[in-house]
Amino acid sequence: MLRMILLIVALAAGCTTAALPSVLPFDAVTQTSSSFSHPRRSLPWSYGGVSYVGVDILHRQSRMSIDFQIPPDTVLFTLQSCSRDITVVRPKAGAFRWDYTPFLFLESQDPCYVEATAYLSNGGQVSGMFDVSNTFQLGATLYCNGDRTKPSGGAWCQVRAGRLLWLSFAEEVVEAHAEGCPAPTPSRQLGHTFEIASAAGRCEYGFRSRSGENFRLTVWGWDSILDLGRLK
Amino acid sequence: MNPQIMLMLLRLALVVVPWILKRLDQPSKAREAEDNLKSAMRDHQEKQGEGSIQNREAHKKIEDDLKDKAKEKWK
Repeated sequence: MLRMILLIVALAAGCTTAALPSVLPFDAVTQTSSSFSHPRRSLPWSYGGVSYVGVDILHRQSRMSIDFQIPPDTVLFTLQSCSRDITVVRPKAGAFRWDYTPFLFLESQDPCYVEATAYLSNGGQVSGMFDVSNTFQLGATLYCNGDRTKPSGGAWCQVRAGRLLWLSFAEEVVEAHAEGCPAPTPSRQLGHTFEIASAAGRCEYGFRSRSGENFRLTVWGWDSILDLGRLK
Repeated sequence: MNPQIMLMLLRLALVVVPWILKRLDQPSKAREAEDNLKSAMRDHQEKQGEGSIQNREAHKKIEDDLKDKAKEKWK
């Protein structure tokens, strides 16, 4: 009787071991080289009772509590600003509060982008990005990805690379943009309005009124709906 | 063999086999989790990130251009 039981146990163990693959599928995935394109930023986060997805610009405060929504199966969560790199190993899924106190001068000059990335166990990534600014001055109307908003002083626009966006002002402005970014073209239909063709990646644009008020536009043109990371 | 003993053994196997499978799977899951974490850390190391301080130079140039253009337009 005991011999029979032992035989069944031994057979079951032998079959199971044989059934296990010698190389896990994940190992094959990790051997592919990663190339970081320009993924759509889709990490949800909130600040001051307002929910955001992916990107935005915030009014700088001396202390800012930002809640990131960490997806399930996140193995590593990172926060990078222009002066810091924070890593959290195996964070709990759900809300993760980060109390951000921008360093005076070091992180309080424009720009100091903060990028949050959740690295998932399947090799994919979910990220978000924001900037803080205290130069909110000039008002504008932004036509971005189907939304019309009226930001003041600065705005983010996340749109698929190659799509058009409009930025309209109530008065005449001058424009300057980062090297390598598509130049805004004045609209033929509307006065004081610029049409911008988004490029892949991040592009920054500056606008200045006669009275010296500024508006800063950051465009994130994505060319990949998902950040597949190592799964590419 | 007695059919009752056979039935008892079968029932026992139904309990024992999943237990063994679970036990055998534990080290591979732990190894997989470790591999996933190492790969994520490697990815993060490779990724420079958008928070780079070099953005400041590009921004400074935009601000300088704006000042020059405004001076030129409304002098």
